Formats: sequence, structure tokens, C-alpha cells
Amino acid sequence: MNSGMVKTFCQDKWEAIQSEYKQAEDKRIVLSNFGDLSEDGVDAILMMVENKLESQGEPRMLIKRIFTVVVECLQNIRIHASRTDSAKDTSFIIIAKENGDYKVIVANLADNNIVENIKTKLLKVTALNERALKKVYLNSLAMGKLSIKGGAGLGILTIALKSNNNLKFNFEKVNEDLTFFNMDIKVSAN
Amino acid sequence: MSKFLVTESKNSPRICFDPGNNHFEISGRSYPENAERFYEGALEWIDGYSPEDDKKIEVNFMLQYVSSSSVICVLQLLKSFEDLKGRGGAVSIHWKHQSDDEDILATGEDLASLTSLEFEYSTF
Repeated sequence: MNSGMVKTFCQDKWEAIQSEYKQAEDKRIVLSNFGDLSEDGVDAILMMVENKLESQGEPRMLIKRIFTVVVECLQNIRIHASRTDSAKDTSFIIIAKENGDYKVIVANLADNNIVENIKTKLLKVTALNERALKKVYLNSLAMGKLSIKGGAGLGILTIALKSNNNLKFNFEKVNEDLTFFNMDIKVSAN
Repeated sequence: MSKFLVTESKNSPRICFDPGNNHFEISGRSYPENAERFYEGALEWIDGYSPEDDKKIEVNFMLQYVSSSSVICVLQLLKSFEDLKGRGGAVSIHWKHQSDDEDILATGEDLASLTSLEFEYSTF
């Protein structure tokens, strides 16, 4: 798949999710963005998230949890998404309301050589109960050091904690270099 | 030692270390993309600070959002404040949170569990 086709592949995925939400009566898209995840792009998305949720009268704690999840997701993409030309401007985020809960759906292209590592970490995290998750979080924090590639996996642990581990993920190999990776995170008011 | 001051931005907190007025504060939102770079100056300042004899320092934290990379840096700040004890300082942490913000309170409790500093909690 060449780079033009790769971008179309990602855009099709984004549009398919949006269609699903637009057709469902009990689901509503709050925010949707494809492409620009520059530092300014991320700031703009975060401001929109907060403003939209406040204007909808959502409780402060829920807004903060969603905001925190979105910060972690977008900063993870900024650090870990593939930097190849084919992967440029192919990430997306959709925030939707579904039966009173919120869904944060993010996707990006990852280099194939890091996929197994991410998959292993996510499988470990999502298998933990609440108590074990908090223990792993505190251990990681105690040992945590920041590097160019982020901080000790605390981002994904934070996402898991804020969502009560309601986190689904999927990997789909796109070509010999890239894999499409998406996460679907549910954030509830309770 | 002279004051250390960083003004607040949309994604980074205000930091004010003012030993002359015994005012130490970190407040606002903390989710800078490069948290390590942001907090570097504050860490260096604390490492170079030696408090006057018997002076008790109260460090006030009033944070609203703290990203995961910021939490790591805040822990490093707390560890540096802990080291002040070895240089003759007494440090207590005043961790403030908005009244409906259980998550920031929990973050404070998590950090407290990883240091030997005295933490007090209150709302703002």
C-alpha cells in the first residue's frame, strides 16, 4: 500500500466510525478530528473538548476525566506514532456520547517493530483488576523516569484508571512498515 | 537565594519559589508536552537552595490537571524537597484540590505514599 493509499485507509476508518455514530439514535459525536495532531492541533482539540462538555452541562469530574484521557491519548500519539512520511497526518480522534457515557476513540499508524511491545503492555494492563492496576501504577510512578519515548507506561495506566479499565484496542497491519492501531475508551460519570 | 518564578500558561502551571517571603507554590494545569524540560529549572533551583536554620517551608500545590509525565516530574520535585531535610530544612506539603475533585486528591495521596514528606490536604 503506497502512502496515498495509507492515508485513504485511515480516513476510511475514521469515516466508518463516524457513520456508525451518526446512524445510531442513542449515540452522538461531540468532537471529531482527522489529521492535524501538531502541538497546536492538540491544544485546539483540548480546548474544544472542555468547552463543548461544559456547554453541555456535564459534571466537572466527568469533564476532567475525559480531558485527562484525551491528553494522555494525544500525547501518546505525538510520542509513539510512526514518523514516516506515509504516516503523516493520519491520526484521528472521535469523542462521542453513548447511552450516558462517553467514548474516546483514537487511532494512529505505528511502526511494525514496536507493535508487539505495545500489544503486550496493553494486554497486561487490561487484564488487571482495579486494585492491581493501582499497584502497578504506583510502582511505575516510583520508578518512573522520563525519556524521549515517554514515562514508564504511566500514560496507558492513567487511561486505564480513569476509564475503570474499559479500554478496547485493535491492531491491523497495513503494509510491511506500518500497523493501524486504535483504542476505544469508555469514560463514565461514576 | 533569589526567587524562582514561571508564569502560568494554558498547559503548564505557575511556579513560584520565593524564599524571602517563605512562599512556595505550584498552581494551575500541568500537561506540557515536554514535562521534563518544563520542570528542569524548578528542580535545579531546589537542588541549589539551602534554607535558613529552623525555617519551615510550606509548599502549596493547587493543581487542576496533572498529566502522567507531569506526575513523574512533581514526584521528582517532592524528592528534591525531601533532600532539603538533609540540608537543615523542614518541609511540609500543602496539597490543595477543588472541592469536587477527588482525582487530584488521589494524586496527592499517591505522591504522599512515595515520599516521607508531611502532607496536609485542603480544598480551594
